[in-house]
Amino acid sequence: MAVDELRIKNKQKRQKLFAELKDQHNKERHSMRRTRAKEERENPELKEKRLAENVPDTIDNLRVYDETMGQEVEGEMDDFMKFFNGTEPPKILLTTNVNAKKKAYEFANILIEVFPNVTFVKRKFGYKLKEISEFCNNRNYTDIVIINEDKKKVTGLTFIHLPEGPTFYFKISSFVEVEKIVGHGRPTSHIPELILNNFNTRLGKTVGKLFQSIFPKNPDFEGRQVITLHNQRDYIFFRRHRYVFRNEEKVGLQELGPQFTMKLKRLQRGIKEETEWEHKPSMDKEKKKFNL
Amino acid sequence: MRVLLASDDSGSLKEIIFNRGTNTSIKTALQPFHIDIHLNQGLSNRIDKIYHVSDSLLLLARHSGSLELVSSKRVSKDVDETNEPKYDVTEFELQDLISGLFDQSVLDTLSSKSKKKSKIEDQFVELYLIKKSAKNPIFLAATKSGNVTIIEVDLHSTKISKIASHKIKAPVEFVTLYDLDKSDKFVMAYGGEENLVRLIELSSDFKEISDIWAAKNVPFDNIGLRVPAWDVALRFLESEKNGVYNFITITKYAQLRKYSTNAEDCRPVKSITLLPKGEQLNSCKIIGDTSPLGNFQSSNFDELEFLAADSRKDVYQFNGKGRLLRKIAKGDITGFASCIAVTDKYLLQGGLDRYVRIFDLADYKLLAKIFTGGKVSDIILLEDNDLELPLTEKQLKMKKKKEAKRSIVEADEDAENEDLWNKLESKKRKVSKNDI
Repeated sequence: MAVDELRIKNKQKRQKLFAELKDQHNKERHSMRRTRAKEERENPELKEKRLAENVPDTIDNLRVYDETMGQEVEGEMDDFMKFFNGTEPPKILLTTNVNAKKKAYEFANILIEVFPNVTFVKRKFGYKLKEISEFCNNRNYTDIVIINEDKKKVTGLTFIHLPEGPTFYFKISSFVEVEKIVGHGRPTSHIPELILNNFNTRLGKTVGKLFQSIFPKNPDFEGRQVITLHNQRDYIFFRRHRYVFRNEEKVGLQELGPQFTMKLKRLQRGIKEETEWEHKPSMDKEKKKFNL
Repeated sequence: MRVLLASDDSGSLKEIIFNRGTNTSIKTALQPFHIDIHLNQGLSNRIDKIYHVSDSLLLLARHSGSLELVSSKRVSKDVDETNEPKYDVTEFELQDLISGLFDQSVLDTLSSKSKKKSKIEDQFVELYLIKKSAKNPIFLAATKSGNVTIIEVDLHSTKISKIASHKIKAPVEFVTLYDLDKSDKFVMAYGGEENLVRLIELSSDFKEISDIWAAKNVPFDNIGLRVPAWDVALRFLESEKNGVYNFITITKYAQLRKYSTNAEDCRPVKSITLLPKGEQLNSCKIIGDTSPLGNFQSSNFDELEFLAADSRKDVYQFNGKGRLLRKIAKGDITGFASCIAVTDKYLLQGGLDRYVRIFDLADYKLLAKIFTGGKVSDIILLEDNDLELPLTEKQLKMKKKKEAKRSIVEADEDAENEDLWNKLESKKRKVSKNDI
């Protein structure tokens, strides 16, 4: 009931009455919830039934039908096949765009801690991407990661899988430094475990495979470090945690940082050759259509 | 409709059977009846080109440098006839193969000079029939490294044999045969990255090859710089004079170039920039009155219309004057269209977005869109007729009702007609004065 519906001409009285009604309504709701919680504690099946019946409509579960979801991937996993068949660990070259500023190097320092077996090389003038990829191929690098900085802000990350591509370009946003995360821990050099969430479509699986190929397949479980790449509505959230088993049932999490969000903008065949998929601004018009 | 396509991810041949109106992106729309994978050999042995030799034979050019002769046999499929139409599926069997047609070492030396950032891999760029025969048709297979192989197919014993092989300057993007007259000459044109168009003639016994004409690059641009040459496709036009060849080329830098071997300086007669923003074009398919190999059966440059795909996501239609007429499936295609095939009535498109789309050439309406599961590198249309769908229960009831109604109406009409005739016959005819 709204305030206007009370039809009392005195505003103060009307407001007072409405506050009382609202308070009463809240109390009823709280007591209903208390009794329901008590009943559900005694009989957990009731809770399961309630949760199964009352599924709220979200943009995620109203997503537009995508035929590529749930289908088996045809053949071997295309261009990443070589890495998966081999036993060699990934070897990453990290660099920036030409004439990068301080922010790019700061971000590079963070990524050096995140990616295993990574070498940072300062980008010099006069070397084209083709030459860089040739140097890397000769030195058995498996990936090149390029930090894109524009107007003193880190705007993107380019991943080039070697020797024959593909190339991914992600937009970077919502970057939170480690120091700004309250109660953050200090990471160790252990190889982290990897959690990939919600990479369901054919394109999503290719993106997921990129991240799988960057981190070695044999994590150091004693380090208890986890990197999570959670995809929600085509935004990929990067988080890093350390877990601890408090007892047999409870697990504690400590965030190690940093936090940032990636959005796939372009996927190209080879080293920046023909486009396989590209984000268009018109795609954002359709709120319930997701590509990953 | 029945299409065969080369699927890259599994290195296989795929058969798809569907009707017009099929769209896998819409859950409630008609879905393909049959998608099946055959002869899969993995990504590294993917199929570059398919050629439909006869009703029961196919030629496949694989990325490993081998040519395969494959037999096909139609087998009826057991289906629930109340829900699905009855159709045949194809079984494929490898009959014969020739391997070792690639020469990667040539491309390794060229890779460093190329504008391409990735290493150039050898692949088949052409596979087509050059001489028809009821028993032993002859085919040409050309690779990027410049190996041109002439192959004879024995239809009776289903064997393939190499007749001759020639070497042309690499890298090769196309080798187009002039098939617009019925002479015994085999005149071909080839070109590629920094490899300007050359016309060559193949002797009638296919053993010798000779240069007959070579193009020159366009003059330096207005600031005195050399214009890079990278022709990606060539189509011949009918020649008015004997020994004079007219053709168009599409360059990687989105230029349409018109050539005539009659021109004094061997340069293009005209060069038109098709797209303003530096898009890259990759193919050229002429629409309309074309020869079996896609050459234009007219001598007028201005009459032609052609399709070209850029390296991002668009398929354009241009006319001979270089004017953009339309974009095909605007916005629907999300990846590079690696394969465009044009038949009499239809346009087939497949690409890196793993979809096959079929358009009606009369109005460019989308007839079918199918998710294939793999990147598409070649498509051929085998049948274009639709299967008759079985009626649903609702449709059956409606049909029965209609038939019953029609029979009642017909019976009533017959009875009325009979009555009318009886009445007319029973009436006494008036006798007029003239009758007397």
